[in-house]
Amino acid sequence: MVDPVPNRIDACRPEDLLGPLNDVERKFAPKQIWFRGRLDLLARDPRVAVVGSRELSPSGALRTREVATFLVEKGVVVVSGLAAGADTIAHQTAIAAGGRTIAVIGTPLQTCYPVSNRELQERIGREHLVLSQFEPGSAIQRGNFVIRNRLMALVADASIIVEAGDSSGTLSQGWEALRLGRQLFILDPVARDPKLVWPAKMIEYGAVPLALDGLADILEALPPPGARLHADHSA
Amino acid sequence: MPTTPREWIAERIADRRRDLPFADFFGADVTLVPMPTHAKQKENSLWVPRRLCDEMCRVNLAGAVSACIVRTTAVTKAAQSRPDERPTVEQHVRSMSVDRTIEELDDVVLLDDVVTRGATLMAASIKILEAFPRVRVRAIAILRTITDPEDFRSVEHPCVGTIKLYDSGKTHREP
Repeated sequence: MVDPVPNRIDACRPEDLLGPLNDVERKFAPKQIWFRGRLDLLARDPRVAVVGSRELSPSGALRTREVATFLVEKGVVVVSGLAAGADTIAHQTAIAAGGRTIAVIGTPLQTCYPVSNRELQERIGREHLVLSQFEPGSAIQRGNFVIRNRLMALVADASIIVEAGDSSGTLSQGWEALRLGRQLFILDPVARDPKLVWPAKMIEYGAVPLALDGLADILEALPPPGARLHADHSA
Repeated sequence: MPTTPREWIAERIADRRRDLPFADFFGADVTLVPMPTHAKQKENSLWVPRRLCDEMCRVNLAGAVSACIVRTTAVTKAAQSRPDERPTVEQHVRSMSVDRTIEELDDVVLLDDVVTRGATLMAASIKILEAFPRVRVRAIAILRTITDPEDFRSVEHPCVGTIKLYDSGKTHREP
């Protein structure tokens, strides 16, 4: 485990943060991860990614808040990507509920996208944890956000898609979670929306529909709070 | 020295093979068949039973590995579902298919990482026997779930048991 310096950007290998990786995990893992904040957020408790569209419906926003609040109440660290929409709500809700959150961002650490989240990114870096696989000073590219989703899937023990359209970038995280053998949940009613193609496809490959009154199912897919030193997925 | 859990498991079994109550499950004539996950799988995704099979073959516990059973539709994951929601053997059978193009199998050992009630293993054995009627089918799970904590003896407790299929479509594993 690396020793973090508060408010400073440091870099380390994924294994230093996450423990030993198997070859499936190593395949898309970055060589280095830059971080700012509390590495203890990776050390003990389970982590769940809450992700979804940038243009979230009002009911999707409510459901995202409900999921993030539930996770905080259960001692789970809320992971998200600091994008507009679902990601922002997941981070903000976790913080407001007194929980912990990790932002896995698609830009270098000194940069912020969207710019409207600069203050939120600063706060997460100060009080929680921000991770990026993009070297400080490197150019921001559109594809970085999909690449970032792979790291987010790797960091999280499970992922929840709260809302997404058929062309949403969020779906790349869902497929990566399934490839890694991590549990992927799709929140109802999106999971059963007949207008969408992706939920049924992902369910065929092991994604699980998640009802708001069945959020406790998430916990079954996680190591218990406090049990983790390093999650060892290295089968 | 083993560097991964699967290497440790395979080498541990190989080292203790003679003392194990299921020592005759292993040998050069045995084909290990990894149990499919509960859903369809993309190529190159994590498949723990397959990795265990490959490792056990590497340490000469079996002569071959045949990934001849695949899941064609998803079922509920037994280890994460309530007892009344776990898929029945019939549902498992309908969700699996066997590659009948492979050579005839003689001595098959199905391998799973975790056994709950044994419905997946029972369904897989039914599918294998449908495709290869003369084959001998047995099964190994690396871990078995325990409902009553008082039944727990030790982390490492190798044993031989049975899985029974009832008319209701449910299974019972003993121990």
